[in-house]
Amino acid sequence: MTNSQYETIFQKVVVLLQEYAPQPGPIQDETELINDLGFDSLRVMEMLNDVEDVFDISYPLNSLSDLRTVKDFVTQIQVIIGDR
Amino acid sequence: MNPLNPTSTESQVPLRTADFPNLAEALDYAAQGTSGFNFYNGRGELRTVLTYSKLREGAQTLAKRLLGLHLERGARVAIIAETNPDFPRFFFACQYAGYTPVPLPASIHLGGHKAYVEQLRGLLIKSQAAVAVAPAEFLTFLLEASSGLGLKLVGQPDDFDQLAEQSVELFPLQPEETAYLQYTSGSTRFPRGVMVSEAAVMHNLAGITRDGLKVRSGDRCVSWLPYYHDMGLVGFVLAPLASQLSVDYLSTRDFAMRPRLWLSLMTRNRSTISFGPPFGYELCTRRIRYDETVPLDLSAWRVAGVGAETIRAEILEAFAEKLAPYGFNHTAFVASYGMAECSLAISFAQLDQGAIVDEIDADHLSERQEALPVTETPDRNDQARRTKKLVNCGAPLPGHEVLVRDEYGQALPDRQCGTIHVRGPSVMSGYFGDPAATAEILSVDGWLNTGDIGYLDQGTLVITGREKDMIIINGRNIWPQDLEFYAEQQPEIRPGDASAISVPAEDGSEKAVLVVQYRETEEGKRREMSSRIARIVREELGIDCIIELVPAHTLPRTSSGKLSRAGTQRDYLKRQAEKSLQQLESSEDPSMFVNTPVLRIAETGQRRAQ
Repeated sequence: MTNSQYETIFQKVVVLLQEYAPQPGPIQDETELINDLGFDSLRVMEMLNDVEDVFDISYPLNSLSDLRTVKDFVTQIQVIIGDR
Repeated sequence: MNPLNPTSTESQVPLRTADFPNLAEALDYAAQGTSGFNFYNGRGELRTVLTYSKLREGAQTLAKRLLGLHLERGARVAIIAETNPDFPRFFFACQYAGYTPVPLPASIHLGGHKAYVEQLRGLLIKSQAAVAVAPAEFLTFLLEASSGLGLKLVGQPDDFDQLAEQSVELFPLQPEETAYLQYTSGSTRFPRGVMVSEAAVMHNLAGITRDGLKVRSGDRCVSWLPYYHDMGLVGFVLAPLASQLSVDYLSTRDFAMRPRLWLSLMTRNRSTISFGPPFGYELCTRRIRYDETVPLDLSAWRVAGVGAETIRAEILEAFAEKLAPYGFNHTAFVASYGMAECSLAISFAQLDQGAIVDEIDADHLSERQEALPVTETPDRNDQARRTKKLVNCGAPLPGHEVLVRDEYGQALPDRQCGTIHVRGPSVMSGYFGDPAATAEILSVDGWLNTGDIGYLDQGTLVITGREKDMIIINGRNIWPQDLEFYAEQQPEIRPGDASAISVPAEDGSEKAVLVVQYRETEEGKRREMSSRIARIVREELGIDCIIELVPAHTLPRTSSGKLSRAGTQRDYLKRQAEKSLQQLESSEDPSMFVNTPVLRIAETGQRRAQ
């Protein structure tokens, strides 16, 4: 895992978050999906559809339970890509 | 190339509609044929095929392993009910071994790790589970949840498959024994385990397959409904199995991500039967885009069942319109009514009729609790009167009686609204370990108080509302007590300072609102409190909730001092309406506010409050 890989994923994630966030706003590492961007479970599922397509991964359902910030999300995706 | 082929639609044994004494014998018979369960992944690829014959073999072997644990007969086996082949295998292993399976939710909300573990723990305790099993991805949650509870074995399927097989003869669960415990009823905080006997569930399965759906050779099912809900478990695991039909499964998660997969599967296998709550149809209407490269053909779909929440005709109309070019026939809609306390089904509308809509005078309904068809309204051209399109849910299953009663328990005539009561062979035995809760809704002479509100029309049922105060979001029941509990858990909020209600959203669905009494006047602290409670609700329940902070002594109470949720709703809508008016008056262009949701909500609410 490298910083540049993190950065690349982060940029793509930001685009998706901005498209799906019920309350769009500035997005940084510590931005929270629920509290800052207003996501609920159904909206996240809608976004995950694109996340899986963009990164060509299968996002495990149980990972949702520990997903709070944008950084958590990018790191999770990074790990899934690494495990592939 | 995919080497797997789905199970055949034709089973090769003569069709029998659940005329078996118990579930084990239903599987014994189905296993003589070639049909079974098929599991598809999030890309719509077939991953696992489980014929009923393989299921029986696997379940019997596992039953003999479980018996090595020497649990008492009827001991609870908790199973995290993810959509995978291990769930039916464990469920039926219990049937053969004489244990009671308890399906547990496999639903995780965003950031909801702690909430999910607590929910599981509560269910393990309440059901007094002896052992518990989870798919590998859910094992850490289950281990956390069961820590210190002294269960005999907690593990993933592999751990159970390593137990030594006992050389004993299997003695399956008998008609009078409990077939499973269903924890869909009751709130998240205070769950109630519905006990359904083998005899009850078999009666219901016969009613569903023989009378309701009139299952016939050539039928094939598709389901994305969760196994831990009555409609997913009884409707789409047990009913197809008891009538030897093949089922194609998609996990609920994959459906929520890609609703189109549901319809692709219907297309691919020429499926004829599938059910969903209105929200499932609505999701398709909203998300499916026209794509000529992936054609859909829904012309074989003969039973498009709808149930699990109040059915709004508009949602079905929109779905039918959108999918008509793909061969969907609106006459396939079959409205149904039921609940876990009656195994699953209570009534089905007639097949091939589509949604039978009763358009009634909504004002008359709220004023007189009587459903007057609009054609009979004295002045039918009176545009000011609101109407409501209700969907008829058909006649009760044979052997079942339905009564609509007023608040004094007196039976009401046709078209008079009251509480729906049901009696018959599919009714539950009671709530597990909770005689007080059982006595509240199940009378000694066998009448089940459904808590739902509706009326009868020539022997058919129309539901106008449901259990008092229940909030339904995206097809899920949300108990106001749960929302209130989360608010009251905050150190600054005292018990009795929160009241949860449902208000109509702009699109006609529902929104949850939590009105909380909070003395603090400092703006920053108030904002923090609102967002804290909203966050907890999202983490615990995965839904959005509007938090309104009000001064002390604002919440209305009944004469006996209890919080009045109806009063809270009326007051909330009034405050919203006043706010809109203020905005309107201070605005330079008043027209822009006329169509704001708040105004429309306020209007509906004021009417409602009459």
